[in-house]
Amino acid sequence: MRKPDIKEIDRIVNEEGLSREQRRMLHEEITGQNLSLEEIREIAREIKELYPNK
Amino acid sequence: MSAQLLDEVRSLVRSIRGLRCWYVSYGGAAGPTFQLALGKKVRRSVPVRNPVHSEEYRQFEGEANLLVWCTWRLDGPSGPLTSSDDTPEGISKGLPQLREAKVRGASLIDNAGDLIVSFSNKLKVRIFCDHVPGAPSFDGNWELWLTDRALLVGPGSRFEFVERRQDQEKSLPARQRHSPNG
Repeated sequence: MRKPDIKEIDRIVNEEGLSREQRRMLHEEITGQNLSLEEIREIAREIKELYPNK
Repeated sequence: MSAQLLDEVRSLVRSIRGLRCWYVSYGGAAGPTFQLALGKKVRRSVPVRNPVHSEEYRQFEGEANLLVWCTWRLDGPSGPLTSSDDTPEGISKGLPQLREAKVRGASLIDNAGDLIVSFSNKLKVRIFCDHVPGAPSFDGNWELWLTDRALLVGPGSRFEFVERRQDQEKSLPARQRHSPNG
């Protein structure tokens, strides 16, 4: 993940409104996997929906 | 930043001394960002679903967990081994060497939040807070997650503590496309 890529992750985090804890959860879920930005966004949405209090 | 806050930050950073690194999480869509699980294994309130991780890591996190979003370099006794600018292959050769090593020292090297963590196997991770105010590529530099709170170091020497909730919850539902069996 070069700078432009991490910027895209940052954009997803902001657009989906993830908290810092949810952002860390996203990191755990995407690490080591080759995922598209759309797939990463899908995981971000799941985290936001399932763990709103995190 | 107040002197009191800086003292609290330095104290928290020092608290990871002596902790053993038992897992290194890196690579894939996370790129050069990485996380070290340190110290005792603490059951997660939400297990990780990601099949890339070990079962142990999916169920447990460290009593302290260092998550790095910014630029870093791993140095050995003879010079640099890898860095956030390295290829995925280079990073995957370097970072796992931290596993089983104990943190020998951890210190902020200036008020910008740069951090040096040295290990019992003579490796050092230097963390450079290169995400600065304005239009940073990412709204964070590094984070230290403990069981009850986290220290977040953001752009522009922004040190923030957040409380953590540890209610037990179920993990994310399984995903079809990225299950271990394809």
